[in-house]
Amino acid sequence: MTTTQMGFHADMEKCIGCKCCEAACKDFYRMPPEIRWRKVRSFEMGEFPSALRVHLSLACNHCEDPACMKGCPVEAYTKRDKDGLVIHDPTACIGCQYCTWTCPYGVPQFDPEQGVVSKCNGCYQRIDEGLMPRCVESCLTGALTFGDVDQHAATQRQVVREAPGFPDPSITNASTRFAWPLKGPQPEHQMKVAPPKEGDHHG
Amino acid sequence: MDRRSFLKLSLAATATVGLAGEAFATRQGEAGAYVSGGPAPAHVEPEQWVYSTCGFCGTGCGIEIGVKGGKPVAVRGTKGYPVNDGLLCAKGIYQWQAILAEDRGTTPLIRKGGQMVKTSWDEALTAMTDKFKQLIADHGPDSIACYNTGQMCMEEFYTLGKLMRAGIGTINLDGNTRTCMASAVVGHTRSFGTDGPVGSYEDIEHAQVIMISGSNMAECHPILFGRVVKAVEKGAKLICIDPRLTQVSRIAHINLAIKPGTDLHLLNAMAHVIIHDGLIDQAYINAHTKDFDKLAAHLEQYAPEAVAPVCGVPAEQIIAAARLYGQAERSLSMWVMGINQSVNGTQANNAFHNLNLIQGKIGKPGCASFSITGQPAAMASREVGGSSSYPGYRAIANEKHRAEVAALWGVDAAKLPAKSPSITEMIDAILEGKIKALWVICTNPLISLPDQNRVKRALEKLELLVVQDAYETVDTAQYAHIFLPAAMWAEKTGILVNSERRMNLLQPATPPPGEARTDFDILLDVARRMGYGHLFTYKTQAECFEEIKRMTRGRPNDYSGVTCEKIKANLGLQWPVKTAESTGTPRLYTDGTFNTPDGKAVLWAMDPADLPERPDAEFPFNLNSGRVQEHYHTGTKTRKVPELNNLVPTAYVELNPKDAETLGVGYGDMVEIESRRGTIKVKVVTTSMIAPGACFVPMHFNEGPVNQLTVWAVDKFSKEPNYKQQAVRIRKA
Amino acid sequence: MANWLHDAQYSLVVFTLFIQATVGAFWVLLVSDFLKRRAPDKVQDAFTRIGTYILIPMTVIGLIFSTTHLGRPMYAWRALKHFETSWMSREIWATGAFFGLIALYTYLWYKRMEDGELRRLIGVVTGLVGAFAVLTQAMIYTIPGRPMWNHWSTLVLFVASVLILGPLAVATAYSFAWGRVIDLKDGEETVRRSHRRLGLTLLAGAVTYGVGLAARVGYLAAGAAAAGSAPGARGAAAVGAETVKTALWIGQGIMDQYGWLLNLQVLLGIGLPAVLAVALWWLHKRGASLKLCNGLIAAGLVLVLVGELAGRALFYLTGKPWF
Repeated sequence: MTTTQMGFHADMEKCIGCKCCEAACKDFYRMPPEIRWRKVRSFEMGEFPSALRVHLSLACNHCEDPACMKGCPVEAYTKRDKDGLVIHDPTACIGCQYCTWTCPYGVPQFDPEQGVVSKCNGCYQRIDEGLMPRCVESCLTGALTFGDVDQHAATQRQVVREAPGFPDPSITNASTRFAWPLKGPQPEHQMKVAPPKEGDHHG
Repeated sequence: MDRRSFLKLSLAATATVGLAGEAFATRQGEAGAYVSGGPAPAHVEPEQWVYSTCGFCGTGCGIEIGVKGGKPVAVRGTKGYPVNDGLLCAKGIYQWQAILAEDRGTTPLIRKGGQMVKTSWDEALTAMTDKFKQLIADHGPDSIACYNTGQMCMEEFYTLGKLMRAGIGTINLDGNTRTCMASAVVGHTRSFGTDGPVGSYEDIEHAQVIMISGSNMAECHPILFGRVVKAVEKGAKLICIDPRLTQVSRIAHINLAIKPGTDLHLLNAMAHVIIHDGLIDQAYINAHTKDFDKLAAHLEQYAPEAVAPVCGVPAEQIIAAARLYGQAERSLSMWVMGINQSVNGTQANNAFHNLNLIQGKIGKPGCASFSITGQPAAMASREVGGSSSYPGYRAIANEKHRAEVAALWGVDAAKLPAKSPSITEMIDAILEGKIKALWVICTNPLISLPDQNRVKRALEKLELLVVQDAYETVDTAQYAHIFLPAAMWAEKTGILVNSERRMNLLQPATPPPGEARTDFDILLDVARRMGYGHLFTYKTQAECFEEIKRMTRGRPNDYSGVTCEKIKANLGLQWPVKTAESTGTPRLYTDGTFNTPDGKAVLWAMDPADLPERPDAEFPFNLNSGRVQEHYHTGTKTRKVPELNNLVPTAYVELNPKDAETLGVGYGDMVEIESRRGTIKVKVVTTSMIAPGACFVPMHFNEGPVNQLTVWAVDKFSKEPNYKQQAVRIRKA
Repeated sequence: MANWLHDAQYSLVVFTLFIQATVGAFWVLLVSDFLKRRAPDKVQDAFTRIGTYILIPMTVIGLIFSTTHLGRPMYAWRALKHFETSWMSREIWATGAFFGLIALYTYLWYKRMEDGELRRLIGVVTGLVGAFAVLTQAMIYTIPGRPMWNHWSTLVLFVASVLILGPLAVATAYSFAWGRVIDLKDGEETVRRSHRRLGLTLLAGAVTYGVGLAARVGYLAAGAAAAGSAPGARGAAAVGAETVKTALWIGQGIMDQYGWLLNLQVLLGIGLPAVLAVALWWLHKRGASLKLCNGLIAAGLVLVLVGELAGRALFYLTGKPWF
């Protein structure tokens, strides 16, 4: 049972699509060029001169009900009790790539050269040292933050589970939260979660 | 709607740079090369971190180069550095890979029998200097030209300037700063008496209103824009002026998507509103400026209602923007290439200065008309005579300045060149046969100068083309007779200066590869071989900097109190640093005294020049050229990094979906773009970020060089080329 | 070309089809085994026994291709670990058990032909395990992470492959055995009977396949249409549950893009078996040459396999990442 679920919060108003988060992660872990643990996806809405281009920066959603972990035949995934981070062990992996199918968000990625899958690990070793994930640290505008999903509301102007284009988060109860851009369509289900009362456990 | 068109429409709706980028992705690097041990990606921890400065844009982030096994293996932002406080953009993060690219020049090359063959430094430099001497003897020093850069370090610019002016004595020395900042340089000089950006980056945090014009700062100066976004979050208001929609315009409170080339109309209208609303600081105007009455009278014709149809934005929006800017106590304007690279570049610069001058918003926190620089050391070049000026912001044409320089150098003032043609004039002089030798240093004019076919003809005509660059494969070297391999920014010592006048250090993290040498070394070697060794008594960069300090003492860019240790200890120093105790100067003209003869800033009354080429029936699109986040300049560094190249791998053109439909093309199709000067073939990216009737091609791709199409026209004051507006036609390829 | 094959997951196409064919072949042989329980028929026995000889090679081919899909096939055995929650782990168990059981069944036919009771008992277990194996395969793909596969039609299509390929493989084996291992005169009756039964299973398989494919095509088309009607749902601006429709629309688009595969699938995977069934019935009514029928069956196997490969490849192609 996870006592605290940590997750990312992406503020799409502040995100300028600079991809420093992608770059910082990639460079820190030295993955092959085609593999990106964090991806920034951009999309446009509307027409000139009122068109908007907005960005979704996503890595792993460290889901509460991770499909990757459930479907993995070799138990290469574990979900940490203390912070709910879902971590993949490449030494256990046999490269069957099933997790690349079961994950609705396209998170795990297969490296044909190494024959194993890899994905964002929440920088769990840095978290254990009291540091932030590299992507969060490198965000130029402060759009990307990381923390207890129940506590985002204390510091963020908006906390929503869904984002435009983001596959239905209820499939696996993704822990990533969003704030939508100020201009353009607004979320229907705003969810600012009140901080948990004493004795209240997540899940 | 039948299935085919439904899918086409849906695909258009879905088309995203990220998703479709995967469709274009081409593998550039070797997988596994960066994976250290075991079957999974793993961190590589450097053995030591070397304090340095970023080699990319004019933001000038403080960095540390991680070194392992004698090679750079990582880069990180310097924690606490005033510019970036540990942050770095994607290019900055990957820049260590550019140093290790396979096509680094490691030996000099010389053309024999049509082929470039390896040779020794002695043979290469002998051939070069012998030819120089022969040309000087037969045709005079003006038959030799040098086109350099904004990416060397201060000591190298200074040495080059001294060599070309005091040694060789040619009028022909210019830098690619001409294509970038010349309008800002002349703009500053016309308004304030000398060059010199007036503000500080921390003005971003102090300003209540920020106006960003002609600058996709989100992609081109991301660290700075990060600070803008944070300021906006804290309550600052943002005005954006750009014909194209960008991330800047997305978060702007007022977005003025004006028609191309109408910036000066708009700025004049804004000044009109500010004056009419009485938002001026009359006391400041009287004390510190001149020609206000002329300006006010001139601006009567630029009422917003008159200007609105020209600019293509509603008058109410112009008025709203002007009032927002004018009513705030602290207003900051920033601009880059969209303003500078136009026949109205200089005048637009002056218009920005006008706006802040008439409100007294110069030299105070949060108040500045702040020209932002593109290259990491263009400022240094401007300050120490690396192109068309003399050290210490001294003007080429100024006799008194030349006399000062001559005295300091111990040379005859009469021999110092009194004029300095721009690069476009030099290209034309090559075509006329007046210039016979060109020395290109750390720049790639074949791709970056306008009207590529003209430039090709000029390069072909030269009797001698020497290309000095880090990469053997730099496009301009295709025409070279001699190639000299140079060190890169992580392989040498030196001082760079960023947009806010902050001086910072380069420190070597690794030696240059093979036989490559620092530009500093090469320049001194050439100087000695040319017989000018007596002019260069310094051997190291530190000694050179001491001489530079003597040259600039008492000038606006006074470095007297600067030492390398102090720069490092203070995390950069903003000049002037007049004394040993001083820790630098955040703002210029804080007391309202300018560098004009009478100390007053000049308010210019200006009419816009007409665009060199407007769209017409034959060539109906306006072509804009520019940059993307992932690449730098002509891509010689960034296209070697697979991570960056995979994100944006090929040349492309941005087209509005309506125009694409009319042309019968969709996302990913090839089109041929033609102007009166040339043709290119590129992929289509449909986007609603660009207006119908306009198109945008990034400058980074040599397989689809936008400068095949660009017009050969310059600002009449600054001679900066007009890269932003020309007429093209497009058809399906 | 290589990219296309890779996206179509050719390893898994072959793996799934060969295992499904083996299950179908086994069911047919098991039914034969039971049918002549009361009336022993030495000739039928001979054919059935030979029929079992194809089971192991087909499974081996399938299993080999399943490992070529893996990044690190040398550790493939680890996949047995997580059967508690992973259908893929369960599939490895089921397929492995099935392999062991058909080996046992084949051995019993080969070495202890007379002990029918034991053999048939083993056979029933094997048949059930085989059925379970096909179920696990279908469940692997019936996942919310791939909406284009997340539908009951996936199981139906897999079962259809079982019903079409398996019997065809057995019939082809019979036709090879007849005249070589089994006397021409002796075997004629048996072979004709087997062709009639084959016709029935082919029809059943074709109907199953038709239902499954129609359901799948309808499912994707409905999703794509729903995506088209909701504003923004077509592309990246869809939100929450709407995004599933985006996935279906993507799947639909790929079906359109690879229309030729769909055509092959319908023509050779559904049409041909049905036509073959009718042809066999008609030919036998006229007492046509058995050689001709055997030839048709062998050719039918090859062509139907092409159709099945095309269909399975299309299945995998539609399951591309939707985010």
